[in-house]
Amino acid sequence: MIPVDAHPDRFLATIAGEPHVFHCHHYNCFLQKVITDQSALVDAPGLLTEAAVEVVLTELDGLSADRSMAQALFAQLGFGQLDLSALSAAGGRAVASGSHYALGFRSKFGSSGEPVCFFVAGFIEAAARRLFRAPFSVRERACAAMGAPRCEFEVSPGGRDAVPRTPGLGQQTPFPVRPGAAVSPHVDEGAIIAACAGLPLAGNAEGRVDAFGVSLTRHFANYYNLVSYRFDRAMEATAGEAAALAARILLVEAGQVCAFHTFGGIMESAEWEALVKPMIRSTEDWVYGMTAVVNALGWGRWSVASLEPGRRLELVIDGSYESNGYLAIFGASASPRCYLGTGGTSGLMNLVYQADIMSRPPLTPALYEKTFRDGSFFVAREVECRTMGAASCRFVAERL
Amino acid sequence: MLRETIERFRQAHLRIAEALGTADESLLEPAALYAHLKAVRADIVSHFREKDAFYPELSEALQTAGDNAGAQLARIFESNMKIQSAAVQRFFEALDRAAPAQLPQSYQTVASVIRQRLSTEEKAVFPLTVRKEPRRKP
Repeated sequence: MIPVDAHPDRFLATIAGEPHVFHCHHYNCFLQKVITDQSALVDAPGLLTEAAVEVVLTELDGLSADRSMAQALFAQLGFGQLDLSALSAAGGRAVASGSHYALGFRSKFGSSGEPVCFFVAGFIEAAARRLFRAPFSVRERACAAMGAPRCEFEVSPGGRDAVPRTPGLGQQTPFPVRPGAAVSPHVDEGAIIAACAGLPLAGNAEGRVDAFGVSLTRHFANYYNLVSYRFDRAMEATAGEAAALAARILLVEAGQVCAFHTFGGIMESAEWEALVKPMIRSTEDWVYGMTAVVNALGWGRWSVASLEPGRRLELVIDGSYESNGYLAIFGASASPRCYLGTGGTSGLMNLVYQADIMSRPPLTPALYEKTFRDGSFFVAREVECRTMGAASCRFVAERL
Repeated sequence: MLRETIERFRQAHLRIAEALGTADESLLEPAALYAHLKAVRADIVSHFREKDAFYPELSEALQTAGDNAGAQLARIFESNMKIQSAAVQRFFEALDRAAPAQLPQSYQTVASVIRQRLSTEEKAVFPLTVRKEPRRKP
């Protein structure tokens, strides 16, 4: 097992200095589709694949990885099984079995008319570059999302000469004092984080992490940062402010999708029943319990700043992976940048007070529509963001 | 046609901004806030209904003009605006049943969404339409 370093003071986790976060196939595939749907405006395949090459190559170099370690890392992180045995300095072929992206896409959107494993292609390119110290490019020739038994990739010598390094943990600042309302007297956040750390959340023999009713990955935080913020910028560069605003709407929606499925899946899971539910005394404790679990996902430190039952949540994130990455890659921003945090905040409140997650409803597309579209649902906005100079990122969710 | 619609929307935005500003002054008096919101309800709801009809027309106009990218963007906005619009209309339609004590907070959330929406439309959506409207034949 490749060691994962916990940074409990920062609520982050790294492998060879590269931050990793848990995200499920719903978020991964939805986020990817958000970008590929705009292919008329942006180079979606390039954007998705190049970011993967950058984060994976940085990490493989940090690990001094050989072929078997690259394959092991792919499986451990929950992306499936990768066979790089046919690769040589002249290129060759690589095969992914049980690709997280291909299977996730199929389960979420049905069969695809074209390959969808952009991240996997980037991973393979990075591995080839690492193993043979030369540029390569990768094309997916068969994809399980299209009905193929496995995903097959053609690896050819050549491609961009230099691959930028990622910013690692990004730009970090000291955490301010935690808000007084950050924890519930009933919910033992420390115990929840410790228990989550003990869960077997590494890929199984098939390279899958099936937990909380979803297919999880321990993904590269900087992959999300690079693809989200480059997408945002590419949209603006191509089609102006309208496109930038449209991109942000879609990225916040991706955050809501993530919250609905990941938070919802967690709150309906056996692990929640065993670990968190015995601590819960009120509806509001569901919010506290979930933020405690989030604090084990490597997303930074989430704290409840204030919670008016059924009406309003003010949430603070210290050291969010989004702001860490944005600041290090792009510097200061004139607008809030924590799209996942924004969607996550509204998602959390809607799950607890709109979807009645306590009654364990099936997390279907119909329930998603009902929860986020009908009735008096919650909307969230980021009112302070570290990328704009604030000490923390602060979100408010209120009923509309 | 679209240009005239946009000009009408801009005028409506000024009226709505003014109405929200006046409502903000009544936040500490729920009865006055209720009376004011009731007075501006018809105008605001009618504006949002008109916008609901506008977005599909916009997508179609951009598509017809051969601006596929613009049409794609308009569809993204259409989907998002429709959700907001339904919620804003629900708020005003439920005004008579709203608990007076909770009205100021509910109003503030709705006002924030309306302001954000008007700003997005002014900055991003309207320029799209003005720039991309197909030329009429002389």
